[in-house]
Amino acid sequence: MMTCNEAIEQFQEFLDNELDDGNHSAIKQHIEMCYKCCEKFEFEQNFKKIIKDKTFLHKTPQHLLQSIVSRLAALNEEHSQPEPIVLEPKTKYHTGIFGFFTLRPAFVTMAILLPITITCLAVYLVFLRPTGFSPIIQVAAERHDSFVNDNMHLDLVSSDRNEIRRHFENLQQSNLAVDVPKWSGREMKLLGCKNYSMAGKKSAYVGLSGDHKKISLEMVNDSDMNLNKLDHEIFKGRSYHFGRYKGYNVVLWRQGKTLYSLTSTMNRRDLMRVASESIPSYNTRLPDGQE
Amino acid sequence: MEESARKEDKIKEFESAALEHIDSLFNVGMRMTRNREEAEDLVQETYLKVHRFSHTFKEGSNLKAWLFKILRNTFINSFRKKIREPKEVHYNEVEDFYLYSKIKSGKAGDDSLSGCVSNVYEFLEDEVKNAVDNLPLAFKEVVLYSDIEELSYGEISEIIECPIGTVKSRLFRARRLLQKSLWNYASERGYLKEKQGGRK
Repeated sequence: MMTCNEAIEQFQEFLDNELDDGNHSAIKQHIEMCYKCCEKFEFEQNFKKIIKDKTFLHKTPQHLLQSIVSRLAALNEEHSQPEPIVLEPKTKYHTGIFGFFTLRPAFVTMAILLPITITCLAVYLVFLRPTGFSPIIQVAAERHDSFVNDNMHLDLVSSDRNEIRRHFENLQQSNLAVDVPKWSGREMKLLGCKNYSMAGKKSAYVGLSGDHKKISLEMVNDSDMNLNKLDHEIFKGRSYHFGRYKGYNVVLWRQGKTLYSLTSTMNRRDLMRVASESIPSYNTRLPDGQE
Repeated sequence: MEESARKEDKIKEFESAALEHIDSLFNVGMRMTRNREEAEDLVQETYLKVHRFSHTFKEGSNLKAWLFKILRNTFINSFRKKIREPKEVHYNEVEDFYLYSKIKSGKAGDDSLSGCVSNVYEFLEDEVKNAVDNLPLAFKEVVLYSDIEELSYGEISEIIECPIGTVKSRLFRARRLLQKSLWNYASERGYLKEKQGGRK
């Protein structure tokens, strides 16, 4: 048997006819038997009725009804005037993704699509744009890759500053065609050298290490390689060209007839700094004026 | 050509079915805006939207509830009204069967059921209207939909985009608030007391 409290808990739903048949008849049964609950319930039921009876009083003014009817008629007239074909796609494509374009005013669509387009373009330009590509970049990067993976046999390994300088001089002599820069060797280790050829020209390859990263320096004399397609930037008075391949940054510059390249995972700016600080051009005196 | 004519007829049919509910919409509009001119604008705008969005109506669903939903959204958008649940009303501020127990205690010793129920009918129209009008919007609308338009909790929950549980508790609180303000009106006017005095 249902208690009064149980019944009262469901009073409102009973009143609003929201109970399922089982619960409804259980409450009904209780109310029929319990005088107190019956009284309460009838009171609430009457209250609900009073709210309805005393508030539902506004008749729609005739002029409003008339105006709405005539406006709707005018709208329907308007729609039936043009070719029925115009109406077809309008009602047809309102669902799914098309609703996005047809339901909303054009400017809302624009307001959403425009920033997305701009963002995509910016992301593409900043991160994904294929940086200028040239065969020399590929050669330099691949050579650096084998250097990084220790697949390259180098002739000399030393970190001694004088050794490095001497070696650079040797390199100069054995590669008369190559204009080897003087080496100031600041915080830079020489890991080895090698003679190579690049695009049919003799080249000198130098494996370096600085800032815990391996760096490849390569010098080709008389190179007529066209670098104009690559991005370029002036840094400390020297014009550098850039390229990127296999995740390596390649920085190229010319000094006289010689083309130099530095390749590493370092970013461009750091590479340019290495280039300008550690490898001053052949004719420039070293800052500390030694020898 | 024939097909478009049929479509046209269908739209007209739909619109005239929608127009049958205009009194309900106007009445709720009046209670929500509390201003005749605004209510007229609101109802007119609602029907223009009904025309524009008639294709979104799912056949077989409750047309009246769909109309109320459009009316409500138009009200919120065009009149920049916010319908939010007021925080300052505490759930336990008004007890269960508020009015019932007040009247009952005023009639101590007289257990006649008909006596106490008939009292409720003595509230004047203006008082009931004022009590409804002065409810916070979130409460007012559920009372209008449930008590006056007799929509189900499910239909109301679709109109106000709230779970059924919220509809239930709001309705419960709204009715208690109504009873309380009606009791206040009644005791201000003193006619309940008079009656009480007359009986003694």
